[in-house]
Amino acid sequence: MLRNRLEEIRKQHGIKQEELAEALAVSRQTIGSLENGRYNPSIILAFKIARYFKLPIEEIFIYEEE
Amino acid sequence: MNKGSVARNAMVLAAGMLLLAAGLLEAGDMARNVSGLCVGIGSGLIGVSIAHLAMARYYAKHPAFRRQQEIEAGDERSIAINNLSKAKAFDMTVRAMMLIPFLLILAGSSLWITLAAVALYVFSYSLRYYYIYKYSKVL
Repeated sequence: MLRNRLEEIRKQHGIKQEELAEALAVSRQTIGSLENGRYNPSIILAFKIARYFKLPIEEIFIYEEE
Repeated sequence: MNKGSVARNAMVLAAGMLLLAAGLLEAGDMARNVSGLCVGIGSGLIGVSIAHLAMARYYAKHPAFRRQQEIEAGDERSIAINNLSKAKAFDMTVRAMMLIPFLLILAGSSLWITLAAVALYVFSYSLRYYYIYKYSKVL
């Protein structure tokens, strides 16, 4: 199972969903779905998010054994 | 939409108008079905090209909307949703197509119509297995 801290990190940076979506060239709905765990990103989008926040990917996306 | 695309749509519009006019005027004593075909294709071309030209005009006036549309088109979640819905629609269509030959037999249709329905079913699955083979080589 993949969990993520995207909402928490985004809020720490004081960024709106719309701004993050614009920076990553995805829709705002995609950011919303990622944050509430309904959608798992592609590895490319996960890297883009990690690079945007200048964090290691595993600090944002956490893989947990079921 | 770039200038080349606008020019291409203008040419498609002109071709559509010519086809429609030829169909309506039955140019050169064309057969009735050919005239109908000209009217159908001409109307289709006119509709599509006018829609593209209107969108190009709207995008030129609203660049933010254009950017949003481009993001939506390339958004990986939207693409995933689109692909999932196409796959579901294929599964449901193929299941529905299994019934059609039986309904045609019960309705007493010609054999060739029943065989055409079966052929369409076989064609759908042939395409599916072709793409499974193709993508298993690529991915």
